[in-house]
Amino acid sequence: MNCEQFQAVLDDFPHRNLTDDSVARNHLKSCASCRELVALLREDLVLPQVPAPAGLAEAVMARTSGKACASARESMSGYADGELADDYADLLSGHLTGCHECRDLEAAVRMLAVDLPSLAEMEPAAGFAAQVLAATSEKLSLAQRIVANWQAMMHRPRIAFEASYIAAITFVLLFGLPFTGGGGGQVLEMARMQPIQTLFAADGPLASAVHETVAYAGELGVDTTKKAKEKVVGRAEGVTGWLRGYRDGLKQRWTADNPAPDQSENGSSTEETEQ
Amino acid sequence: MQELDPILERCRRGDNLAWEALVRRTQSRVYGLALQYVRDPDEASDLAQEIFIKIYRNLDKMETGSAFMPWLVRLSRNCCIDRIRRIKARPPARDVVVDEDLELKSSAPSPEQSWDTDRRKQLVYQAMGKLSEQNREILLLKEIQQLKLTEIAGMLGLPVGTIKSRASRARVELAKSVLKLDPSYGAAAATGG
Repeated sequence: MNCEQFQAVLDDFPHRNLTDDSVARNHLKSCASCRELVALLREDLVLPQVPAPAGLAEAVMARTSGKACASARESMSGYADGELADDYADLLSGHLTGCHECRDLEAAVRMLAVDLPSLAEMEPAAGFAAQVLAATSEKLSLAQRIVANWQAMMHRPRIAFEASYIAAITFVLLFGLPFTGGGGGQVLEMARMQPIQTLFAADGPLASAVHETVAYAGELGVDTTKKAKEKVVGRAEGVTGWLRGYRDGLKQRWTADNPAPDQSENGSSTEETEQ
Repeated sequence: MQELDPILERCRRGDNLAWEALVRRTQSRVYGLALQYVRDPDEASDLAQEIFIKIYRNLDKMETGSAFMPWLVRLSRNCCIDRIRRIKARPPARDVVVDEDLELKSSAPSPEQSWDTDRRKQLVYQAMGKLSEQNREILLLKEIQQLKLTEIAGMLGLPVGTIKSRASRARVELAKSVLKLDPSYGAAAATGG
């Protein structure tokens, strides 16, 4: 092996370690210049630390991808709040080291995290609370009262409404709809059989429906005070009166259309139903 | 705001004393929010009263616990937006108050700290006025009122990701705006001031 051949294989050995190649090792023993070359290559190359000229990185960025400030500012809030992944935070940190504008901006962003929450509370003028309390304790206008009453009335459970509702349903179930044909006759027939008497009796279905409603409201914990009960009874009486009037009207029509041969029989029936 | 729960419960039952306590405890918050929206102390005071009247009329719908503050902010925000619409619809009868006249009190322990904190608050308040309405609102809800991203997203009808990125950009915009007013603001932050 000559020197030229030795230098050709030298690069194939990492760290210039020739222990695996006996031919090269033999050449090295015999050749002083190659020994000197290997010794020189084995030395660590220590490069002198030469500071880069100012603005070199900026110049490179300007000629390649452009300034990285926009990307840095996109993530600046996350960086200030410590929300970024470590590797990305390092990249941003590197940018901040070289860019004083972004550094100042980042310091301001960080400071804002402290200052902004303090703006949540600001002192109003003296007497503000007193003004609010006066405004909220003022008497309501007529329109406001109507709205408030309506809202209160709609608020369930309303016992009076419930009782009226049950009474109306009872009426429809017993007599059908008032405008259906032949309704009057059916009513009178039923009146003859005394169902209305039963309906309006003290222990009849209407009364028991009202009592059951009141009892159910009591179970639910709804306040069934005297006033509420009076209201229920008042509504029930109203419905009862209307039903009686309607029944009498139908009866008169029936009597006019079908004159009874025996007046005394008809009279006794009326007395019975009006009890 | 969990400590307000007993007061809120009493308010619902029509207790006037509890209502007064609620007004006194939340007035700074409601007024601060109104001021950020309308940026006029008189208008904000009037608006804050309107907000409280609305709260009073909606006591039965009032949320409690951790949901109270988002509920309060949502209701206040709606009132503020209505007022701003009305303001825009009619020309102002008088000149708008200059922001610099606004007094912002701090609770700093020493007068020196207090002066510095007040100055910074004043500066940030002024800088907020230079932001777009969108940026100002997002900062108001996230950074000032400290609402959760999901709560803001629900309020504004936007995805959480959009809220997050907008809030991030808005904070940088605000930082730029503050630095324009006072270039030493960042330096104060760097030294821990």
